[in-house]
Amino acid sequence: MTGPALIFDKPNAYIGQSTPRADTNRLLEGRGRFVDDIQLPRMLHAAFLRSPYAHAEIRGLDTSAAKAAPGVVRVLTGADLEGVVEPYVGVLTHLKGLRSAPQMPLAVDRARWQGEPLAMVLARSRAEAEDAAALIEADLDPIPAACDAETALDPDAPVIHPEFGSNLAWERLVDVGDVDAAFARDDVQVVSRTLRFGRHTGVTLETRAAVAEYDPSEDRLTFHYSGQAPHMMQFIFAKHLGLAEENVRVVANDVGGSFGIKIHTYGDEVATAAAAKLLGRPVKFVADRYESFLSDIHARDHVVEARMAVDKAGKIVALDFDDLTGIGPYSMYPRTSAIEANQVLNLTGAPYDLENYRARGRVVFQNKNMMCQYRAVGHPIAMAICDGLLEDAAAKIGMDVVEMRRVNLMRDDSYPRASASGMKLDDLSHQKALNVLVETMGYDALRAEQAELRARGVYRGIGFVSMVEVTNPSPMFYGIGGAPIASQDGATVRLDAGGGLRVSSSVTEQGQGTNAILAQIAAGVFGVPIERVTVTTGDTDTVPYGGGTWASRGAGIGGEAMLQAAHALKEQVLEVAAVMLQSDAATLDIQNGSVVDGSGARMTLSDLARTVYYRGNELPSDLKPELIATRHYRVTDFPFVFTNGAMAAHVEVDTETGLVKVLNFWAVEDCGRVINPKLVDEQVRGGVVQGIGGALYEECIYSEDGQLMNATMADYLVPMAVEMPDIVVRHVETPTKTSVLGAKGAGEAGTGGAPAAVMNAVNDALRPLGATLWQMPMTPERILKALGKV
Amino acid sequence: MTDVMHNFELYQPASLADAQELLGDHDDAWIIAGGKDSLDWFKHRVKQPSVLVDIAAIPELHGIREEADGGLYIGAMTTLTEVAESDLVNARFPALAMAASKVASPQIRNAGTLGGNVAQDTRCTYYRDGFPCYRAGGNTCYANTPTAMNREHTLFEASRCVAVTPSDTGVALAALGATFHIQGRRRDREVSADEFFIGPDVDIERMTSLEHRDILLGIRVPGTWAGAHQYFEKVADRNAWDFALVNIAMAARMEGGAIAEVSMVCGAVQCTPRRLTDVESLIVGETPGEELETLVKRVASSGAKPLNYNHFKIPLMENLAARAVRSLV
Ligand SMILES: Cc1cc2nc3c(=O)[nH]c(=O)nc-3n(C[C@H](O)[C@H](O)[C@H](O)COP(=O)(O)OP(=O)(O)OC[C@H]3O[C@@H](n4cnc5c(N)ncnc54)[C@H](O)[C@@H]3O)c2cc1C
Repeated sequence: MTGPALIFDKPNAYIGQSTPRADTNRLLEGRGRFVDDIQLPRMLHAAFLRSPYAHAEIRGLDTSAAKAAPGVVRVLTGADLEGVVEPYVGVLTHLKGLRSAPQMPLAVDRARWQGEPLAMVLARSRAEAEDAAALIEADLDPIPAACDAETALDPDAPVIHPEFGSNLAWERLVDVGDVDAAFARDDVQVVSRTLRFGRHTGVTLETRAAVAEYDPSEDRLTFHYSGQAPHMMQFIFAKHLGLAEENVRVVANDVGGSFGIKIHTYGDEVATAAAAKLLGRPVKFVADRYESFLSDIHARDHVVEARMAVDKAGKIVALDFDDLTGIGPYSMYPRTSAIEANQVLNLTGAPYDLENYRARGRVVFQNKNMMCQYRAVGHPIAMAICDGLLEDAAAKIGMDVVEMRRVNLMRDDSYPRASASGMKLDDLSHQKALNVLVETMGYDALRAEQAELRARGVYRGIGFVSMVEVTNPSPMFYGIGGAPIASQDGATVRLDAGGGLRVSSSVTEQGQGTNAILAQIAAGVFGVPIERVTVTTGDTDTVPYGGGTWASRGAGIGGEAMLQAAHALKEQVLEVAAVMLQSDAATLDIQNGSVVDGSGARMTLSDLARTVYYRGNELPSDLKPELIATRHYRVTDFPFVFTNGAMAAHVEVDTETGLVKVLNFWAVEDCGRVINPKLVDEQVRGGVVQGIGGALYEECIYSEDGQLMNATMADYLVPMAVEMPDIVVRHVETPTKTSVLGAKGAGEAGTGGAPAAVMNAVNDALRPLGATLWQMPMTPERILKALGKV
Repeated sequence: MTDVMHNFELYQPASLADAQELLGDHDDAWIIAGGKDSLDWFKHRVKQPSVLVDIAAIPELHGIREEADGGLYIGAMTTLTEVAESDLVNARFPALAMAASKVASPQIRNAGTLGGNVAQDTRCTYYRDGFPCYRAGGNTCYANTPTAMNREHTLFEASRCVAVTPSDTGVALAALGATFHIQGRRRDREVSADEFFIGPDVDIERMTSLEHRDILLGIRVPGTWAGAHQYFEKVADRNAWDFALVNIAMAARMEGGAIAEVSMVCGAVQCTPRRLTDVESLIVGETPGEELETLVKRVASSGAKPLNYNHFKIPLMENLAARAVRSLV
């Protein structure tokens, strides 16, 4: 990697410091600019009628009463959008064989999940729109539904897209080494389990929201939305609404959380844009909590049959599993719903030295809300399969789980190398991370305490996970398959006349502090106090072209682009300064807003900039000063930059009530260079909490006929602060060699690792009672059942 | 879909007389206290009363007063936080303080009232989603079909409807022998928990005996159990801000190591708080210990008729009853 070196230990090198976020005060004072804060002249409000059935023929939608209701301007149905919106199909060419049917924003002829939008009412107020939506007479004929993924492939299951002949969307097999021979060896012990992962969802504080504005005089659409990938949406609206790409502006201002929920194409949002175009009036749609549960993508929903063979020394000899996942009636556009299963196949066992590996993944259609990429895509499944079986096998052969990991984890000095599934790995530190973890948690003392308490009838458990996380993806993730999803990102850095830096970036901020680290990098690399940096993200009209924020790429890719741009601008500025000061650029530096040399400050940046901008006459005519620089960056050497981590959970299980209390949680994370320790810790902690949610509480519970039964915050249980443990975070820093910055991602590690650690801890507590549990969330009911009390 | 409440008229009377008059004037008037149950119904547009009578400004409904018999009178508008933190309640009726402190979250307890907590509607998801079930005036139960999701529903006393009582405080109040002081259209009355909480066999569309134009003024907890040994425990999927899968309240007096008197009530297993009379009669006169716990587990759930998905409530109930007895050791 070429580029500026030694930028990390300058006087105002902010990189590595816990500088506070610049937008904290603004948000705390209620001055955020969320989509719902936008009020435009003549704006209409949208409310949707959604399918109450999982599967139904739409015989007719009588909208006459709704149209006549007070305040209503228009009622749109699926038929009204035919010819206005080009249907979309969620497939990618590199996921060979993946199929999905064309989708329209509002269902036409048939509704395929409970919550699918059927009609849209546009009225002067949201209240009037809702009143009118209730007046639409929907003549729906419920038809047999295939709701359960486990039976969706049965010969007698209703086929959701008859043209496909079955509900299979995609299938992939990875087969490495000789798995059958390894399992047949007579010196191995085998454990096999069926793991179940419930559906859950993101539950963002700010629900999905959009305000679409269309100006017919310029054929121009402006779409304000609460989302993560403005340029992707720009392409999608242009293509599917028939607009020139440059005539579509997508703006994502403040976003109240997203976790992957807000990176997809939702019918209600496309309909909002289409309605604005049709009516020539601004349209606002803000999802309420109920429709968020019904329509925000869900995640997980996997059933995995898995087995592992280990030898007497605890070495994993083979791993074999079959993963079945239900994705709803369509593959989500444009990222597809096969990526999670693909990740499970790619990532399982990746921390370990493993020769014989077989994994089959099947992705099936079903009549439930769509499943797609959500924080830590595939990771919790992959980690729970391998580390769950590893700890199960350790129990079987009577080996300590830490010892068993030491035997199997890839050695820290063995990179670069590949995982069994063929993932290219470099710069990982599994062994070191595990050592730091064991020391931090006081492992031996905990085990002693556990034994002592067990004798008194108190059942505590300790569970681990050693994990990898996919971060900083290259074009191999989506671009290669034809999706309009940039893997490169850009940054622009501009020196203004006042001496401040105005920077913009194509990565986006949803609350994780992206803007803060961009400012840190720009300030540190260029050499101004951080207060002098203003950051713009999330506006396709003004920021460089790029992918946005997902797959833990904001810091690693967006950050590197910013570093390169700031460095480039610095060189440009010093070139001007050298002429003005009549010295050699190599002897000059920029510190604290001034150009300096060995003797101290020579000129403020504002003096320099004012001269350039206002008094160009003072400069030699052959000097062409540029006080703006743009750089782009993508990962080239690897498909992904993997990070690693080691985590442990300590739990107590109440065997009479089935309640699990998480007593402690420790996470050791190697995300390469840490730009802002506080923000990374927040990301890891938040991720762990979300992972504990999946392990213990969160589940979208469907009835057999496809009705979501707990679509409220009182019924769908997210983790609450009071029952969360202290989460201790430690770092190992192994910078990636793919960039100067050396940062990998950290945003998803906690969510990816915590479920396996918690499951292992619960099972460690239950094993002496002859019980184990392999289904998440691990509710009191399931624990009592595992204990044989029901 | 639905995020905005329907239109209604809001009245905020400052006296009981005004409140009564308003209720008399409007047939579908809905009393609102802290609003924590009511507003959900309105936001989901499942219930749409045209008139709301907010009783927060009526002075008589607030506060906790000592009674001559050593008991307490708690105004219906007293918040759950006030109940949970009251020194008087903690000293005399810790089971009630504990129950109040286990309701939902601090925010909800700050606004939610004791009266609203005992008068709140059931949590059956079918009913709350607006399915036209028996309780909603229809003619079927969606929660008790071969494919229905009913892990949170009844073990006992189902009668067409299988919804359970959601109230944590109701269970403690029933165990403590509380009475409910109601102002009706013509006269005041005071009823026991047995009469206040009603099952579907009595009236399938109501959870309590409160009728239109009834205002719950307050709850009287008699001195009977003041200062006696008390126990409350609740099991939920999430150990905070979640409704009980099963909860239990007990009050007891010991004499010479044996249980002299006891009152034990379980919640979330039937439409009303369930008095565990079999357990009570089994353990009176006995000495708590492992042996007694085994016997308690045997009778605690006798007669239970689980539905498809709620068998797990049986061991929960048995274990909680045994634990309550264990707390006497
Ligand atoms: C997320 C969530 C979690 C919850 N968790 C729990 C829990 O764990 N345990 C639990 O017990 N409850 C729980 N609840 C319910 C909550 O505690 C009750 O909704 C609250 O106590 C109701 O009190 P309120 O004053 O807000 O009632 P309101 O909503 O104002 O009233 C509720 C009902 O009682 C009637 N009412 C109220 N006061 C009177 C009166 N004085 N006279 C006549 N009628 C009256 C109203 O007409 C209405 O029908 C939860 C609620 C939510 C939203």
